[in-house]
Amino acid sequence: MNETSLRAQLELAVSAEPPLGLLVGNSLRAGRKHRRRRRTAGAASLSAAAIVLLGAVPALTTGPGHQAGRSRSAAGRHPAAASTAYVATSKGTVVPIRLATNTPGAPIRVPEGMPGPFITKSAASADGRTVYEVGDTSGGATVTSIDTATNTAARPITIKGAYGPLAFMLAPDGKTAYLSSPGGLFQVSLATSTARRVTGCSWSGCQAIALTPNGRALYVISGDKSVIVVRTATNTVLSRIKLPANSPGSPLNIGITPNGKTAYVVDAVAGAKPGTNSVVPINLATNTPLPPIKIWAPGLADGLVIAPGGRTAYVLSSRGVTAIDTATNQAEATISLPEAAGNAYYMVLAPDGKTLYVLTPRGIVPIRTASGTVLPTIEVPHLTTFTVIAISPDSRRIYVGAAISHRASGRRWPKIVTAGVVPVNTATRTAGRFINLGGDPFSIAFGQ
Amino acid sequence: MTTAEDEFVEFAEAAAPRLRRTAFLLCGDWHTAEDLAQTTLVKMFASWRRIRRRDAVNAYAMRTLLNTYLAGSRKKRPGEVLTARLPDPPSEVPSPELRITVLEALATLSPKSRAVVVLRYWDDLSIEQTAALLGCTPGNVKSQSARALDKLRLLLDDAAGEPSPARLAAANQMTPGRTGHE
Repeated sequence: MNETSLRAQLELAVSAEPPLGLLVGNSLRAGRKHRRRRRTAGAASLSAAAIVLLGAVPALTTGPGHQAGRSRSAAGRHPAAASTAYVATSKGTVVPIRLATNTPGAPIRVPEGMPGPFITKSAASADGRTVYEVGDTSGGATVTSIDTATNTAARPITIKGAYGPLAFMLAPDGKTAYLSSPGGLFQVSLATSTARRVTGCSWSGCQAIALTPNGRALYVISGDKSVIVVRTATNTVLSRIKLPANSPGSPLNIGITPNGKTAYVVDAVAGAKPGTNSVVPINLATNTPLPPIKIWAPGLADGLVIAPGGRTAYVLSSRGVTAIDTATNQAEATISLPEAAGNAYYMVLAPDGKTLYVLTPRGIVPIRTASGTVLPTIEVPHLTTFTVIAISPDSRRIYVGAAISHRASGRRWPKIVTAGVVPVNTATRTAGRFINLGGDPFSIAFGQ
Repeated sequence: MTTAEDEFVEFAEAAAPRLRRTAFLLCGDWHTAEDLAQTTLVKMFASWRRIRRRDAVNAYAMRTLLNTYLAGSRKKRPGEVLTARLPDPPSEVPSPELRITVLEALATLSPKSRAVVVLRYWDDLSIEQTAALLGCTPGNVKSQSARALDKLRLLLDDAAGEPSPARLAAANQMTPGRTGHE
């Protein structure tokens, strides 16, 4: 379960709401009576200080929106050789960890980010020389670039109007980036450190993003069950693709094949029987949806990764992984997770395409993509904080969020003492020692 | 009705459903949610002339709702849970047949934690907005969000089937009598 599936369950809980009835009328009548009483009693209802404070609070969004955070494939996006993992933490720092020694370096200060499942809140340039971190401040979302040679942060770019940033993606040319939020889709010029709003996406905001490999078009999930297509050269909206009427869920995730021909949208339904969740392929030549592919693995489908060669798309549900053949748009296999592992949280695909790693409460379940073989679960110590999992560009190292906790006697729940990451060696499939970062890890990017 | 009252009615009609839904997720039943929403609107009407400015009004409504809810939750006797559905928060591993719902899971959080979850993941407020409304630091909101999600994950089963043995075992590790992971 992550924010998006939690959101889906909250919606389910609220869906049986009774009619409003006389709520407003009653409030008005009671309010008038209250006001008359107050006037005669002479009491003030609010101090001036409180009003001033409230005036400083930024305007709220007017409607609920999705937070679509998902596991994304690292394939093709990271530099070929990376020496350092940059871990953004809940303390408003980015801690560089040398892969060779697993030792954390001096923390780099950045505007505070936010927890969230992988919606890439950080990304590295193709040459590994710059890592970009997304923050969330009262002035709006921020993008801060870190020079990996000196491990210093530049002045953050503030994007006014982009509150609660969800997805962040670098364009293939490395010169621009895109950020989606409840406030809309924004383009960030990394060269000039400026940002502009490209489009809004319905009342519930812009969610997951995918870019075509040539960078010319951007596809963003809109809260009204449509996908908005943007021509990036001119920042114009090309079209709006409505998901088929027979897809019952909410679009949570989107990915595009390396040949730029097909997009896959994960249409998720919480608490439904197998076969209800689906993946909707979109033909990018015509921008039209194709018949939904039913997902039979039990549970909410949310994770999506596409193999580097583009032949297979993998979808993660709570209890299994579905492999989709992109040539035929058929589900070719459903790989069940071990019963003992529990419900899956996130999935990453090794950049070499050979192994999927699924994070569960019991540890990391490796799945060989060629054969669908499920390898023994990698046990990870201190696995209590499921905020992040990421794999290095050379496919050899995984970092997963963890925390040391202590349960005092008489208390029901343990208290987290400190948090950090645990390194996992993918060749030996063993976890190393906990690396204390002093705060919850929010996102990880790999740089030089 | 005066113009100010017209304005209030327009605001109240637009805000009432949203306030009641947030209240519902906070307290777990529609009757109490209705009361909370009504109390909020009554208080706002009383100060309407001062708070009419558009961008402050929604924040004011949320702040009033939260204060009303949190004040009410403090008055509850220890052990009393703010939900009509669940008599007690699960203090033991739930039996395999019982399928825990998100409302029941929310009921196991403290009122403030519950408020953080509802503001962040239902009302979609940012960390800064949530911190300002609850009167705490953004760091506090961040860690509360992460902890609350951990607890909810352990309790909720979003598969169509029964809770998995591993999930029950993990939840077991967080009940009295067990230490944290080593």
